[in-house]
Amino acid sequence: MPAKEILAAIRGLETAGWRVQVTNGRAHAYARAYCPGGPTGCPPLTINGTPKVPEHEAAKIRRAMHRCQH
Amino acid sequence: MDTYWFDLEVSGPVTEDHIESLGDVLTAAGGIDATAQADERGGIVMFSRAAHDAIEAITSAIEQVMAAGMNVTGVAEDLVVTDEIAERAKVTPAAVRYWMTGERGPGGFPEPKIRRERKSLYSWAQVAAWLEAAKLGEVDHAAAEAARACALINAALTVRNGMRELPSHDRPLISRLLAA
Repeated sequence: MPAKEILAAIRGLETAGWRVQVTNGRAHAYARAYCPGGPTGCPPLTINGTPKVPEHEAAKIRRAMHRCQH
Repeated sequence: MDTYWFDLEVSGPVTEDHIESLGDVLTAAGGIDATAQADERGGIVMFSRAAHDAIEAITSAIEQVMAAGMNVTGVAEDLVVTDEIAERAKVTPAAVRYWMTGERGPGGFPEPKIRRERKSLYSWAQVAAWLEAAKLGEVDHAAAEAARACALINAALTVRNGMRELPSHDRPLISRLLAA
């Protein structure tokens, strides 16, 4: 299970209307997040389960959410 | 060591296997400090890399992304939207919008680096410098260094990609110019 900072950022994505799909069978990717824009929206965000610095991973998740125009 | 924030731009297609491979490369090098947002259209890989300097941070990241099978086309400095500026400056997004319009603060807020209909992108290095001048924050020296390094490395990537399209007899001429 990813660190609490990452889980909090994921909850933020879901609140903003992103769809978060937990991956299976991947060593590094914990989940993929899809913006509300659908197929023509932002490219999917791959969320790492065990990043070097969880706070940085969480900041990048929030960054993708903030930058999304959809 | 400082931590440098930047995005590598990658061309498509980027597959899940590419991203997983990048995870392997980074883990072997000490840990995952990159997050990919990309698919068959291409996209970006966001880095937060601790290094001795910005050039070392960005060039090592480019080598690792390429080792994972992706094609790097550019690098962008730490670019932020209004909400991120607010988060970092510990004020509300409304306060940032007042700074931008000049209704509050000393005026002269930096112009966006990338102007968009919604959520324009600003250089954090420029915004941090403005915040310090306005006595509202501190200069982010690592961001300023990374912004300068990004400009130089983008030029290098343009040359590298342009060289590939040159006739082979012209390539040494460009190489000689660069080495001079």
